[in-house]
Amino acid sequence: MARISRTGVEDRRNWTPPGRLRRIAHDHRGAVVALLLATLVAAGLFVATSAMAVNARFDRRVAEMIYTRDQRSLSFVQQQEARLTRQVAERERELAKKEEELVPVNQPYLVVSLAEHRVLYIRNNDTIFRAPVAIGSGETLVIDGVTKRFQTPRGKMAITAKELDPVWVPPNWHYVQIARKNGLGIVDMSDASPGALNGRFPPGRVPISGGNVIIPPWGSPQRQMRGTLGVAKLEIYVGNDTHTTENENSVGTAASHGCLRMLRDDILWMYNNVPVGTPVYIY
Amino acid sequence: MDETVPRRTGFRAEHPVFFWGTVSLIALLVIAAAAVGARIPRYNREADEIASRMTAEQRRTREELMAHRQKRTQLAVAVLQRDLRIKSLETRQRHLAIVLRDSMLELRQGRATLRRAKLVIGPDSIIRAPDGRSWRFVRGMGERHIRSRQQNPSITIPDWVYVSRGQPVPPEGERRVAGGMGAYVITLDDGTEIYSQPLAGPLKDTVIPAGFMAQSKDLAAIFDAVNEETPVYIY
Repeated sequence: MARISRTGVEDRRNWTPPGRLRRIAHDHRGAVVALLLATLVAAGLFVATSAMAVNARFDRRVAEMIYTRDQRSLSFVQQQEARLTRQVAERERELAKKEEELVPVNQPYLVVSLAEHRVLYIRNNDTIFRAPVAIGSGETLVIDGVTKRFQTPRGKMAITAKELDPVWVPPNWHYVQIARKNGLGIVDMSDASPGALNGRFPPGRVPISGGNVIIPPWGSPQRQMRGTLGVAKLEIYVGNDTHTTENENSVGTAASHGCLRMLRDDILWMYNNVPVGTPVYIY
Repeated sequence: MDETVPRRTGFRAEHPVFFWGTVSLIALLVIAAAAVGARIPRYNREADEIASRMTAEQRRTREELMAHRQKRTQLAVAVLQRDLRIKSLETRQRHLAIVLRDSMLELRQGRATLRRAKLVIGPDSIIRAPDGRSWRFVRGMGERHIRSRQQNPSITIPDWVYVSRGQPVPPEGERRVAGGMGAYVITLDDGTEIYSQPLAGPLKDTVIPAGFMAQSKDLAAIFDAVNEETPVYIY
């Protein structure tokens, strides 16, 4: 009899599926699983022992063939052995060819180690350039209840663009950070027309007025900062760049907002030698 | 109060045919395995006896056949290694590759090698204790996955470590060593460990059988780049 709950519905804990085997498996799950596992182990043991015995018996039979000069059987065994060896060797050759096709020959790539704060430029398994980098600091900033973590993402990317004397278009969090650091309020004008602040604030500077940091409109001259990213940048993907820094002491540490900062000479080498499209692996 | 009727009784009593049928099948398989296994030493002995009576030429023929089979086994291993290397090259996600021939640990993503590290590889080994217990360690080859990653874990030094050195095995409580397997331990789903060289404890001087030991700085570099379920190809 099944247990009846207070609502009058049959309790599902006492539900039993139809069919004898299903019922057994349902009612005694642990015992059934244990028995099946034991059966599998015993079957495996039997198969392994049988294989070893067949092998040993075959060795004895071959010894008999050779000793009794049973040339007909012996040549059959030799042919079989040669055929099997040829098959395996053929498979080996096929795989070797496939592997050759897969192994990259001239495709250089960049590798960034977040743990070791360094970038390598590798070609044909040779490291042809190595330099220290600053990576995302891992610090967090909460804006309107959303937490942003300044970290460099891992994964496979590619160099999408290169630029000398690059212009930086700061994201909104940059202005929020400045305001919080200086105890100022925030006025968000990022969605206003690009010319909204013209004549009132100089281009490329953070607009501050009446105790507030003003977040400039997207596309406005106030939102375009030259020099912040140093002499050059390599864009890995939108929002994450490799560039130089005014704070060269930070290179080799976890200090950036997610970008990879490099020393002046290093980024210039990269600018001159790493083509757009080069894969970048960050790990 | 709800009405409750005890429904479950003992499995053996409730389904005797199912229970005893399965038990009989298991017993039959074990007996058959034992009977077949008992013949193996006899076959080997007889083959050796026949070989001892062979002429030099017949012995050479036998050795040639054996060498042929050995070559085939070596080729089969080479095929497996190539197959795994191809799998590694075709795997687009980040993964580890352990190249046995070069004693090298590689962090790879597709065709790119992101980081290489020299490994000390523990040899295959059978350890036998005076009381009859034995431990067999076989170096793995094939596809595995990372089961867990630990930093500076406290471990209980296994008793076979002491047995292998002919030393008395201390009580379990005295075998606990903080950082006994170094600062970083990556355990694979078959129990194989990739670990950094410990600074303390009985494992600091030698690599464990069938284990993989790397330098601490190398494992530190890749530790956060892999996670549980990351594939590991050993070839």
